Amino acid sequence: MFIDTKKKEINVKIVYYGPALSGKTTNLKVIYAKLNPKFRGDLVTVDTKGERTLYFDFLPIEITLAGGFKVKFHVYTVPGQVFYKASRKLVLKGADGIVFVADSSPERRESNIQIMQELIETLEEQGISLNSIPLVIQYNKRDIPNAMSIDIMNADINHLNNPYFEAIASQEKGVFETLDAIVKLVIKKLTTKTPV
Amino acid sequence: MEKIEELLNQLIRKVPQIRAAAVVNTEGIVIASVLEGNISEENFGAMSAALLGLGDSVLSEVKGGKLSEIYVKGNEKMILLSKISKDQLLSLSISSDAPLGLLLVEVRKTAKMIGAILSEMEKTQTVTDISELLGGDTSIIEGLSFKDLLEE
Ligand SMILES: Nc1nc2c(ncn2[C@@H]2O[C@H](COP(=O)(O)OP(=O)(O)O)[C@@H](O)[C@H]2O)c(=O)[nH]1
Ligand SMILES: [Mg+2]
Repeated sequence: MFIDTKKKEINVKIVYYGPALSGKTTNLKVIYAKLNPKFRGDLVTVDTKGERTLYFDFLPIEITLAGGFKVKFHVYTVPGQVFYKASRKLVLKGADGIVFVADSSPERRESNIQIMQELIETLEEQGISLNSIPLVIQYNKRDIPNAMSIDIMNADINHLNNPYFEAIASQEKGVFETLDAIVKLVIKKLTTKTPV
Repeated sequence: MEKIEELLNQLIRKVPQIRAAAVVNTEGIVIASVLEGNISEENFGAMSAALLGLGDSVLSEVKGGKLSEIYVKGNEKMILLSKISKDQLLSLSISSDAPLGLLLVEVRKTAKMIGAILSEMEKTQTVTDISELLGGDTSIIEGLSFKDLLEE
């Protein structure tokens, strides 16, 4: 986070985290496509030819609050493949809020659990406990026929009862509900806690 | 911030091949910059932080110590990152024909001066209460919905 009081500007970083192919990039693409260009910049995707993110996606979003205060959200996704743990750590550094995008396919159950565990450990390494950082969980791909129940998924990865949303990101469902929720949590934390 | 931008401008006057200069923190957020119109500040910051992260990983792999500079050269432009402090770096986009010796000397000098300003600022910065900055009105947050900000 970086606050420029002269420019009346708050910069915050939001990271979409989760296993490979859970729909993180799809979330950003939907936000980019639907949001009025006034409020967003270019979507930068650094990736390989396939659909797997090699490094990260990045989308800046900017809104103006009462009193002319600007909030700039720097939204990132991380690559989900096990191999890219180092990239995930880098992108996570300095995050003010996290969206965990989980995959509802039963075959991805273990990956969801494993990457959530990794998130908790990485945050701990950076001196942050899971209950102190704004976190929203998105259960994506609710359209697939054998999607896991929300109860099972909550039991697997939502141990702290964080806010969660069902989504079909590829059909734009749940994407903005999730974004609203994380943005509100982040701003709320900024306004209640006094950062040094 | 104006002081820092003045230093960046001075640097560009000394080495006119510098096309863009920004002070970026390790989160990728631009603190101060002098950029050409067609360069996005956000993207420049994100790319700089990504390069820095990569450089850090590579150096730790080869036990190369603390990172101080990164240099990426193409036939048209080069990118030079120079660490200012633990949390900030000076990031430059330069045309490839710049004289390297002069460039490095001036860049290191500038990074040092910016570092001094930033650490002075940190010392004197008072605690900021954001709700105060917002005029105590946080109600707007409750009503915030990106669905109201979509393209018609
Ligand atoms: N069935 C279904 N597919 C989805 C959904 N969201 C994303 N996908 C697809 O899942 C694949 C991986 O998505 P992507 O966003 O690239 O995943 P990432 O690795 O998390 O960035 C793509 O083929 C998407 O079209 C969804 O809600 N339902
Ligand atoms: Mg992706």
